[in-house]
Amino acid sequence: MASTKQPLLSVRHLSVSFFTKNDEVKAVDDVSFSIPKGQTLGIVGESGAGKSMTALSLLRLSQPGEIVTGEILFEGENILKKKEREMRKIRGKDISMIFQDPMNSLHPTYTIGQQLREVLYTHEHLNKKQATKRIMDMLQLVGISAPEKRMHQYPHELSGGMKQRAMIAMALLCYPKLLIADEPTTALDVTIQAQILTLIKELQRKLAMSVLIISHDFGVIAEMCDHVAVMYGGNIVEMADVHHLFEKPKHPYTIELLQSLLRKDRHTNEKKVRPIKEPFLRSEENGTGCRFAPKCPYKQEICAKRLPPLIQDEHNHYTRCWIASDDR
Amino acid sequence: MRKEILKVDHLKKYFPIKSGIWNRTVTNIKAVDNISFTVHEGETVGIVGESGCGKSTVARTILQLEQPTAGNIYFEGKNLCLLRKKELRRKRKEMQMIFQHPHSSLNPRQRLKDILYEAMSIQKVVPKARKNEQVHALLQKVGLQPHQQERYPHELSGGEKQRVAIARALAVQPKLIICDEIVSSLDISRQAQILHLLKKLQQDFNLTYLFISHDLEVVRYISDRVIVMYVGQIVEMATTQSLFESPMHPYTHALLSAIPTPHPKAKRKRLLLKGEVPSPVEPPSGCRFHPRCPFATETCKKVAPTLQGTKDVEQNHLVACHYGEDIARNRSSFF
Ligand SMILES: Nc1ncnc2c1ncn2[C@@H]1O[C@H](COP(=O)(O)OP(=O)(O)OP(=O)(O)O)[C@@H](O)[C@H]1O
Ligand SMILES: Nc1ncnc2c1ncn2[C@@H]1O[C@H](COP(=O)(O)OP(=O)(O)OP(=O)(O)O)[C@@H](O)[C@H]1O
Ligand code: SF4
Ligand SMILES: [Mg+2]
Ligand SMILES: [Mg+2]
Repeated sequence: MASTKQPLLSVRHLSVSFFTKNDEVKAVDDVSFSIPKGQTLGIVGESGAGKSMTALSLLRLSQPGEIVTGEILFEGENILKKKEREMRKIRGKDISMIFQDPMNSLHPTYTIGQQLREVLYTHEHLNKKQATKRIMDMLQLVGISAPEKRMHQYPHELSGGMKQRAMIAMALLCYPKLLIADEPTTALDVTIQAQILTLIKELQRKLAMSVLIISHDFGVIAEMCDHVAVMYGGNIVEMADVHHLFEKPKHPYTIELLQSLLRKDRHTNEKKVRPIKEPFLRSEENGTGCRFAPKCPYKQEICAKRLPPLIQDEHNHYTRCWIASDDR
Repeated sequence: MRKEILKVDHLKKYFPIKSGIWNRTVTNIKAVDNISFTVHEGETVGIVGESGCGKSTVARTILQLEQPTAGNIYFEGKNLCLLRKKELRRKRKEMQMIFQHPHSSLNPRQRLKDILYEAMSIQKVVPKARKNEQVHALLQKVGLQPHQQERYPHELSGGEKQRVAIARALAVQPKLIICDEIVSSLDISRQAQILHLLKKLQQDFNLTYLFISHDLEVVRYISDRVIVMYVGQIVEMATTQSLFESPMHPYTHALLSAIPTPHPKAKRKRLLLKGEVPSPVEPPSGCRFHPRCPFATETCKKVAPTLQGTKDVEQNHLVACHYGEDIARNRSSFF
């Protein structure tokens, strides 16, 4: 990603593993990317590919997953070197996250209003009236009607989509520099989804907020992102400008993914879907080769033996594939 | 005619909002407000509608996880609201629900294999020797790997957890499965895999599904009939084909026009609904859609339309709109 200025966030060679008695599960394996100020990077990829673990690592919340190697530079400083006390100041203020599971960030025994207030008081100096106003405004912005009533409700009294929106409100409350959004709109119908995405884009324009968005919805990715990274089996296998990625995907997995999108468009008429084959193999079961090799229609002898490097072409289009690099 | 398996009869569910030092009920959230429909054996009925319109509440009251404020639920002819605890527990085995957030429905202290094994033995006892084999078969069906059976729920990714919840519901071998947004957290190929699996099981075991989703493409693919809800009420109900090819309610039409296109160049041409999402605390007078409806008249503001059939369209296509007839007759001039 070419940028003359220093990017807001820069992740280098990040690896996260789960260690059991006699086993290591590599959830994230040598992942590097950066996000310039005001820009949006999207991460797509199969369920279990390591997307959430990558995101959680940025806030040092990957436990019990251990960050084995790598550095995470936020405004030039390595987050992994910071004290826990410093991290608490960053979380929710400079970097905030919309979690995939709302129950990760909403406490069941406090009302929505109490929880939002807590976040505000931790990070900003506002009096009660100002805080209430900020909270009500934010709830309204995420499409929760009658916020003065909703503030007094507990999370379990909200619908699935409202919980998700309350969480989005919480993440945006302190106007973060970096917003991490892990499947932020899965529980929302298209109209409200549109409203939320517009809100994020608007804040982004006003505050030059950077966004990392994880989604399996290519509609969301297409609308929001400047760049997209595709993950497979813990690796980034392709990363490019969003237009490039959609127009000229190079990695066999990305190609398959985009083709399955086209199939999805059609399957409603034809009442036919092609279910995917067996789940992908994790690195440790696949030795040292390309993670996608067992399923790849183009694989060569070398593919199963050696992991291809992530190679950059003249358009800043990165691909991790032995044969895609010489432009198929 | 196929056998009726589930009948929801004038169902209402209000949640009180309490306030003040006496904790008195000041007003109600009318989450579900007078809903009736039936589901036949072996059929899939989809429920769509905006976030907060009452879909999950319908599901939860069907299973008696919430007491209905009014109305009745019949399952295989038995009124669930009148059953005693023990009978209800027995009936519940025939009905499974896969929840919107799998996280809260999986026991965090059980390994996957135990979760699945427990579910399997609810209906019939599986011989110990075959236990492993069956757990593996289930895991494979939903696209998980055998070695993951030793994991606890918190050791799984979001989509993996969701698939465990699906596997668990299937393991019970119920007659009716209520699916609440079960594929929205999955990537497209996994979605396809799960939808495919559900269809196959339906053919093999004559399962019945109530399928809640905000993803219209998914609902269209899986459902035989579709119910469209708006602020606690049904505004349209029809066969899938009829609903998608000739939607009648202006709200349904707005919903269908909002399906996004997965390409950065494609301009989204959404018929964005103007106005606020109405609150179920004080729903609008007359037709609840009138503040946002481009065709609203004085009548709409005052009189609530009833859900009924219209002359010119398919028999079972019901719509709650004063101008259903007109829309059916001159579709092109309306939309
Ligand atoms: N505590 C744990 N112990 C072992 N493995 C784990 C643990 N937590 C997560 N994993 C594994 O790490 C991998 C990456 O998980 P992650 O949550 O990042 O996936 P994801 O890409 O976000 O998928 P999804 O789209 O399903 O949310 C998964 O295969 C998961 O099974
Ligand atoms: N236990 C409860 N106490 C109070 N209000 C509740 C409770 N459960 C649900 N509600 C309210 O009932 C309404 C309908 O909620 P429901 O969960 O049925 O919506 P939904 O259609 O499933 O929406 P979503 O698509 O967002 O999940 C909402 O306004 C919600 O706040
Ligand atoms: S490296 Fe080989 S196996 Fe991997 S994606 Fe490319 S062609 Fe396929
Ligand atoms: Mg995830
Ligand atoms: Mg719901």
